[in-house]
Amino acid sequence: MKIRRIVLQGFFKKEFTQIVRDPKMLFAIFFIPLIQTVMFGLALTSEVKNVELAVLAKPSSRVARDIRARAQASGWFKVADIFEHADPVSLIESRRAEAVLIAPKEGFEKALERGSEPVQLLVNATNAQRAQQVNGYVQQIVAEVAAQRGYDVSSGVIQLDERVLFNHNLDTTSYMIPALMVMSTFIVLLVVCGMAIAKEKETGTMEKLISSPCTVEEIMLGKTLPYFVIGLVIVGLILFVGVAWFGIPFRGSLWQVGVNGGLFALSALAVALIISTVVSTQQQAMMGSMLYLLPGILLSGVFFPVANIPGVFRWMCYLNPMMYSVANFRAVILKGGDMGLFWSNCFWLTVICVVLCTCAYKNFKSTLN
Amino acid sequence: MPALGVRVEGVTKRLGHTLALQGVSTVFEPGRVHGIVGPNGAGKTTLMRVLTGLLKPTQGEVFYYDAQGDVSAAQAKGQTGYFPQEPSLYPDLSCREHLEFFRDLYDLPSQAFESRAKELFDATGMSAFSGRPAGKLSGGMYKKLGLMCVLLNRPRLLLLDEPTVGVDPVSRQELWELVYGFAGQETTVVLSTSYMDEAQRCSKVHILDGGVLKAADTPQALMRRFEVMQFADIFLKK
Repeated sequence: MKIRRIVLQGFFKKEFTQIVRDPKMLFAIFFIPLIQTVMFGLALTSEVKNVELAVLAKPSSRVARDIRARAQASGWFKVADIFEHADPVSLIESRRAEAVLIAPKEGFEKALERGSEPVQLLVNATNAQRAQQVNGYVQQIVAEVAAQRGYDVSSGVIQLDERVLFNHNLDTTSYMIPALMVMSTFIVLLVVCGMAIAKEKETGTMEKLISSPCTVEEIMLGKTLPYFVIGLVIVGLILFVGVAWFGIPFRGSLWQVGVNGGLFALSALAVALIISTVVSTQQQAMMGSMLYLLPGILLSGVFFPVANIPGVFRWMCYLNPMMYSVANFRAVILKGGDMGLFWSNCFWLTVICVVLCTCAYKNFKSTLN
Repeated sequence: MPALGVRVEGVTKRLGHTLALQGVSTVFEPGRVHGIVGPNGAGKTTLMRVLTGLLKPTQGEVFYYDAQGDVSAAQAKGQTGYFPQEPSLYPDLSCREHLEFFRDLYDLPSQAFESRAKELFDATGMSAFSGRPAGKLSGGMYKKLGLMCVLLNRPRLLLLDEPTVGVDPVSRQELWELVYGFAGQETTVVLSTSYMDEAQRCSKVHILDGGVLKAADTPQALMRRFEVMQFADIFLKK
């Protein structure tokens, strides 16, 4: 295997010159990930907000008043009112409330004291996911009030042992930006590198490269390494925007970001190479990339927890390099030093990388030959 | 370095259901200008690609040699320049940037590159356009740039697949002068063409038809053999 530095330098210079001179390419590489970061950071949030809560209790109940105060301060609830006499179902039907917390006959105080009386919560579940989250919010608030007032509710009627760690405010931005570092970079690398190779084939310049004294390895590395560098730059850019603009925490180390970023960028480029060996035009390369990206993103844990995916499909997640990278970035950025998890994810990512790179190398070599 | 010669022995190439070449055997002696002539679909491009090593023969073999003996296919690849029918270039890179990119691919020292680049720019009359992007060159200049990229490596075997197709008569003449300027002791030129006047300028012509080699000799000897006054009549008489 002959790989000369001067040849790779030549490819780097050529690829970067071509990227810099093509405004559309520059836009695709840098602007789209930034737009995605801003959109996911500001607009597209799965966090449930603006909930209207009604508390059915005596207005004199201190616990009810505390619940109302905490709900209003949490930022999740738009309104939190106390009603003494009202029909909880009609409150929901008339859309005056999305959730109604109903005190037992003898009041919240007695119920929490005994820990046996049910505290009922009615939630509008037309959106099941939202209802689940509202349920969680209310439980958390009741638990906090009970704890503050010194009640032991550990064996009570509502599950009060829930705690939210690492992302105390359940802030979607902090959760999404580490995932975006993978998703946006993967999309850009797969599409741009795949199309760059397909372009060489489509316009016939690949024939010129093959018939030149360059080795297959030099062509392969020359066509992918510039995009590897670009991938790491995009990862750094999104992390910078996340920390500097959206104020997400960064509890891990930069070298962990580098290792994880390098491994998944390599896997993205290997997939791009494999796609480029079976297509002959840029349009086909784009289609091939989309075919990979759609299931790849859905089965990466970016939007849906992998644990919620049925077992039949879960094995596809385990073959997906994006899944390990997303888990790693979330852990590195939000949690910090869980080295066991980090190296375990890196190990599987490396295994997938080796398999993908071997396939890409063999396919690329046999196509050129 | 002396020019490379090629010996083709019983080469058959099947492309899908088509037999593009059928048992072609011929010799491209070093230092000469060879023409591969034939109508469209005769197998000229396939033979060219077999000579460059881009296609592997289904049957038969290709041997490279020089004055000192046999040369391996891997060695020959590094000393062969191929100019495809559509000399694709990067439209956003300038002429100078093309040469610099190929300098790196050929691993040329800077000094040798500078002198060769100057020589090529002077020979093609393209010095004034060195900063112009390839996408903004005229058809003739585009082909000249493609040829410059190939010649930069001083190939011992230069393979040109229909280099003058779609080029105006003046540019055709200039391209020919450029090719003849580099052919000789150090470079063997093999070109395919459909133009009979171009074929007549070659020192040896290999006539292909339907993937079969009909004859290979000097243009004069071929005219005598086919008993025609004009070279083009060889095909018309058929």
